Amino acid sequence: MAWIRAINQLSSQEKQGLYRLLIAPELFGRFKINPLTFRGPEGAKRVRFYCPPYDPIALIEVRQDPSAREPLYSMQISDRPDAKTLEWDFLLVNDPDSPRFDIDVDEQGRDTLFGRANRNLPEERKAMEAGLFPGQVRSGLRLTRSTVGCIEHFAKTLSIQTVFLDALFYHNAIAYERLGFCYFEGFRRMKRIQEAFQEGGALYRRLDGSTPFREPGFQETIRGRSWAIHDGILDGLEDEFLADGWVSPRMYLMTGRHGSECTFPHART
Amino acid sequence: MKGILYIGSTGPGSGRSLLGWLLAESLLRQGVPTGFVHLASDPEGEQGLPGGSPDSVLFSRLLGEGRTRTICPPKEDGAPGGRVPGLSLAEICEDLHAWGKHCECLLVMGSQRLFSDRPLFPVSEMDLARRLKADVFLLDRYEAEATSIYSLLSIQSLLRGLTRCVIVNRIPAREYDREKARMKPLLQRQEGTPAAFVPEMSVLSSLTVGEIAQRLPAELVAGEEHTERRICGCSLGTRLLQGPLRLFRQAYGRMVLTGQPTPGPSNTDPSCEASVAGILLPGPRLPNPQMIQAAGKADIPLLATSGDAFTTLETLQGILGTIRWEDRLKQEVFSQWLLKDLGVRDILECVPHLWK
Repeated sequence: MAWIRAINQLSSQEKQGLYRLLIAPELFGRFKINPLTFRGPEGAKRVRFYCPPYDPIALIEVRQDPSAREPLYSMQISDRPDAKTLEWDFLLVNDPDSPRFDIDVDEQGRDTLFGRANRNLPEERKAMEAGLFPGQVRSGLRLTRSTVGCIEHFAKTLSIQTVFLDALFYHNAIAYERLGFCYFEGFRRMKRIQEAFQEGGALYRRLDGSTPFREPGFQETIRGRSWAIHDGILDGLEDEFLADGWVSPRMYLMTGRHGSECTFPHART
Repeated sequence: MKGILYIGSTGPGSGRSLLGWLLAESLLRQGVPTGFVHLASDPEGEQGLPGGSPDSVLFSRLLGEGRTRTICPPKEDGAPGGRVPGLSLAEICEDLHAWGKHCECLLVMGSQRLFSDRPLFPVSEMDLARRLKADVFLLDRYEAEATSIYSLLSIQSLLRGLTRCVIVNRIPAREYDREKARMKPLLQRQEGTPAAFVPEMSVLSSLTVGEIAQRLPAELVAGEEHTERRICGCSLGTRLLQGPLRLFRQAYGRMVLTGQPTPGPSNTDPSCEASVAGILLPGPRLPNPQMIQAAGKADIPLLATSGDAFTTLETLQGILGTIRWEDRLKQEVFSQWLLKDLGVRDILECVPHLWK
């Protein structure tokens, strides 16, 4: 039996003890959450676990305030067909003290799927100008490295050898490759994006200021590239590897044996 | 008191409430004043609900106000919050006899897992049933032949002749005949206890899309023609979201409503083989046209509810995993199958001293 389903059959105490490993430890101190009781100083539960016995997934959510609109930390992992690999479904980190940008809903309040289905352009522009990456409603808490450490430790504890994920946005892929993830699928596409953003390249030429998300100079930063790609700069490109537009790369982390792939050398944030 | 009927279970989802309902109605038909006691492992979870746990609500309605109660045994030392003061085994027995003195029969519903329900430690349900000299109805949720057989045989041995009926529930329909033929002789050989076998039936372990929409409540945004489709479970997993439904992988907190498992190589891994029967979107965001289109392409209903993801999940699990007064159809289907398989007209025939 794969690990998550097996863990989910333990008592609440036991499984919460194991899934606590997936919470970035900085959160406990910074938000005054008791790591044993998962409660805040006022006694309210700040951490919630969804890990029912018959579901091969675990969702861990940390909130500063139970009534907050979004969690400050949310992570979901799930089983893959074998016990040696794990799927990291998603990670959401929000700094509750930072301003919120409604990029997740359009003017009618409809879900934009973080801008991937439809877009709230005025909010996205404000988010970009505030220094956020595509898909972010608030600034993060700079926890990606710590979180990758947590999931790797969790995996090692259970002798899980490989953690898989889909990098939703370009900047996610770059962040994960810097933290030792390798490309299972999409490496050549990422390399091609790097080439096309070089001076004179197809993507470089498209950074023509035609939209606020395609300003000249965006090729130099991870954030600039990610916004341009999110804005559809790859669409309609006659290129063997990029013809389908942006496709989330499939990535994996070998526990204890980090990769060193780099598709954006000398990148700036 | 004429007797104590104890409903023991080897695992969650075995049908304790349905069997309890059947027993309670039979006792009432016999004119036996009956009380209902639920041994709950989680006092917060059971008693914190408005009106009590779903079982308390159901059995209060069946047996009358003041005829039901919940007992929470003490937690072991080292549990969060330290040892919780509670009743010992002897005190529970005394308490039950004292409380039940106005009843002729007590119906005791044990915890989800009779064998090793950790939160009930240090009170052993096996010891409790023996000390009460209860007539035990033993339920097993089928997972695999060996698991069911050896769990049931072990418990029967430990109960030292108190088992009056063994019920193996939720056997996959395609395996039913074979499994019944294999297990029945083994189970009956030990003590001659009557054994019944109930197949997995969608009507027993599911709700319709319309019922879910009504109980959550949720709005049916797309696929109104699917209101009668049966939902057996829900999952946050992404593996089931393929083809046009891949779009929903990016929707935070979206729940996959699963239908009947489709035949596959493994019986013990139902959710892996479950089919997508609907999508439920929690939270304040409204579904976008692409989502509605994707649901249409996949021919599934799309529901939306304003509750946050965790609250919705907990409510949904509660709705799918509990029996209410309104679920009488389930009780009737379960009872009919059970009585037919046992070859009796009334379940109380298994306990002759209560059967007139």
